[in-house]
Amino acid sequence: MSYRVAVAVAFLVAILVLAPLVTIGWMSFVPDLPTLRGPYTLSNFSVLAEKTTYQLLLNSVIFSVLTLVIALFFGFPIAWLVERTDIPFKLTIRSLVGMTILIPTFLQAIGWVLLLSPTIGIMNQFLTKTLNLPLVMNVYTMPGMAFVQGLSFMPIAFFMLSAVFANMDPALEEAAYANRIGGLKTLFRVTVPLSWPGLLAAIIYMFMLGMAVLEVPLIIGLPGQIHLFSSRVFTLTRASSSVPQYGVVGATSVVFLAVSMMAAFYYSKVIRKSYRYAVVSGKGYRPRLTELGPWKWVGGGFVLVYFSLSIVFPFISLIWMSLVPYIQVPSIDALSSVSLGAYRYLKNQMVIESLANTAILIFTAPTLVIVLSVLVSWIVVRSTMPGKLTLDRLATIPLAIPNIIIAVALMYIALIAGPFFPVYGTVWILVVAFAISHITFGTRTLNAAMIQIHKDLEEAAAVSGAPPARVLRRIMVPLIWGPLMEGWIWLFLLSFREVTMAATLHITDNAVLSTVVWVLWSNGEFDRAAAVSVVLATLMGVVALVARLIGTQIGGRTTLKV
Amino acid sequence: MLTVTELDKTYTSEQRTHQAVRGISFDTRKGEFYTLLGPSGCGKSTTLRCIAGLEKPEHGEISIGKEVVFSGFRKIFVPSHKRNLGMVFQSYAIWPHMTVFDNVAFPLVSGERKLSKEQIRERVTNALSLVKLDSLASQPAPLLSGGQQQRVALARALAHQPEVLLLDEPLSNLDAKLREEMRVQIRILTRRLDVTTIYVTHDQLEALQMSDRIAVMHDGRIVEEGTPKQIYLSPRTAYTAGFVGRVNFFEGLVRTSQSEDGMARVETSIGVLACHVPEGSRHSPGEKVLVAVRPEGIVLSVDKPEASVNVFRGVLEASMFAGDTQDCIVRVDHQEIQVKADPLTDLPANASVYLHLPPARCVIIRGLAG
Repeated sequence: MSYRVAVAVAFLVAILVLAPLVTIGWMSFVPDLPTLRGPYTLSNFSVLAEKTTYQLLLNSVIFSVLTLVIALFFGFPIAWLVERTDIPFKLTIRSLVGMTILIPTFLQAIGWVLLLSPTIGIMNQFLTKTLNLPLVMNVYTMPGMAFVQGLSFMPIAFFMLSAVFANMDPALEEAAYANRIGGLKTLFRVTVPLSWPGLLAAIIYMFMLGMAVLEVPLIIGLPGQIHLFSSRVFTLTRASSSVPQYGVVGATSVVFLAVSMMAAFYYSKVIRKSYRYAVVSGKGYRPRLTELGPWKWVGGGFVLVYFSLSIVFPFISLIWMSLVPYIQVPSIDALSSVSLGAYRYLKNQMVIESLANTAILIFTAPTLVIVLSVLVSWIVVRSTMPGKLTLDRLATIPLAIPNIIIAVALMYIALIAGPFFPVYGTVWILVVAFAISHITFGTRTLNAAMIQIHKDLEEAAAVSGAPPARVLRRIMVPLIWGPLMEGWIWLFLLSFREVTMAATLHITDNAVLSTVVWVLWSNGEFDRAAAVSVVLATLMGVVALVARLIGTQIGGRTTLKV
Repeated sequence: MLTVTELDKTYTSEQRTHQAVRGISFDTRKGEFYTLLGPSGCGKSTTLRCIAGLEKPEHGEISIGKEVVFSGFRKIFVPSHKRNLGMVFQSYAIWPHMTVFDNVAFPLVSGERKLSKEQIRERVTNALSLVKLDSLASQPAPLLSGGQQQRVALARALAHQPEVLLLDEPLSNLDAKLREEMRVQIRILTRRLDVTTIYVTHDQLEALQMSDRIAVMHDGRIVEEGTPKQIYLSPRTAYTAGFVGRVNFFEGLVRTSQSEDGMARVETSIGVLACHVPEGSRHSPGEKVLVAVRPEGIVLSVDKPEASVNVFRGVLEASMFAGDTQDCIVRVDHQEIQVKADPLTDLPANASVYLHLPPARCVIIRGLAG
């Protein structure tokens, strides 16, 4: 790669990554509509003096903390069971957990609303009307939100902790057993403390994600009158009554971003430290597996409970909802009203268009991320370009920017710089947003892959007369093809389930499948929303299964930005 | 053919700077086999990588044929892929995703000259038959043995008929027997193709057997340059003498410089040594020098030899039978001397023996440095 190309790539990445940050800062000083010309004002920052801002912050923090508690409640024991005990069906559990990451959280959220809404929820209707019990489970509460979000974060906790358990020297646990310290005591006195750095990393990571997620705050939080930072930013951009208050969005986002950046900074510090903690003994040990004996039924039951809550319950309720015209408790009467009517909506123009948009998104966005990441990683890993480490750090910044902020910033740029960035209201703005938010994942994956490739292989090609571009195309890319494709498929699946940015950037013509569900849902067309959800989930499942058959390990990655 | 002038290369990391190459200069003729010999870390590989264009030196000049490919002063740096070189790496660097044929064809399809399909096929087949691998052309590269990979690497380096062939310790990963075989193969091949070859190795035997000329390197500099015979038989520095084979050193003072018999007399701790003085070398009386004598240059006998000079009596301290020789340690006064004795001689422990150091094998090295 010529020097000029390398510089161009570096500039492109810098622009992509820094543009959202600069834009957010900019819009916080602009009073009304997006403009490049003044006047500028500080009035937007009056939000800093408002009590509601701090209420939002507090809500977001409570939500994040409760969420990660739920995620760890399921994730920690299941990771331990899979890595450290003789529980059966480990592979199946692993891949099911991996697949769970791919389920868009808003499908689970809708499913749980259908079950646990205090007025219409199927489960609540059954408990309160049929059994005459008092209402105890209300999804429209902070714990309800955290419960649903926690279920969907569990795979993150699971994979981060699996890595910790897998690398932990079993001799340390064995020492405890040898001294006749019982299993449970060993777990709490040895295993948990030893996994602490990894656990802390997982906690901070989930906290960061919890602050940024939008789906549950939208679907459960808004009707439940529980407002968080993310849902507030969302509603401000699409205030239906008046002009969107971009200035206030900007000022609010600055606060939001500051919290997120601090968490990200702390996260990177902990990650670096946990490498030092990592127990890599070098000898090829096989971790000693705890024999569960009859306890394996308890362990297995626990795993089943998780999958029932995260997959089975919400999906059965979605399927049921898609078959009946209004929410009702399944009964003989209800069966008579079952029809596939809602599925006829799939022939609607909006759905067809959204399918086309989805196709564009899921093929171009991962490709863009991978191509850019290959170039960036190659510069970082191989070149002698000055400042290449800065480039590497730039590529990690998006990890700290909540997706919704990337989306809002891009929309703002498209509004003020339309002629130069003519993507407003098209699917392409979504492609760019996705690329920005996933460049961290792309470059981390490819850095790791490229470091594995012996430098001699490329130098041999250079000496053989191959110019750099050819070395990259004929030697490096074929040699990292496996991890590259794995990364591509993973991004492909993530882009398919992407909803935060899709909903934020949705105008009229750029809906993707997930946006359609959101639009239908917010219009109260529950049966149609459920029908499209079922289709979305089925497609997802088929694609993930195909990817799996191709031989891709889904969900093996630990630091995913989902 | 290949000329390197005053080359400097420094590696800088956050912790330290390391000057790997310090002012190296040498010049090779067309078709010459030139070896950079030295221990690891002496800068020989760095020099080779600078020639290949894989490293960018700070100062100096490198030219291949008439073309200057690097000049620090004139700010010229021709990238690797435009230097028309062939290189074999220590790791062979065979591309595992290609067949043997594709590996060898890569330089031909990547180069600036466009060749037809038939031409490529013909050249690859030629290159593979040179290294006797024609039958394996369609094999996937990772299935080859180490020796075969090595030969593929050689074929690949030669396929596009480069002006200069660079070999970076190509034999160090082979087992002893294969290594011996490949030394001969490589030498025959480079001579037949008349390609200028720069060979980097830490193995003195390899260097002596294969080279037209050897440059002995130490600490980023060329300590000495010469034919294998010059380097081995009459080294000019103690470093060279010590690095290229085993050697006994005797410190001493020159008593008489070259006398009528063409020999100098040096007073050493074991007595006066008559030493041959090569042409053009001159030592003055009273000068402090080092006399180097190789173990196989010393004649060990139980009976007193007939020679009149350089005969010493000593005690056999130890002897180890090594098949083609017996490695002995003989103490003369307080100095232990390594000697290679005839394997048939029966040597009881602590025997009293005679050592004859023929003057032609006693090399005076100026100065005590190194």
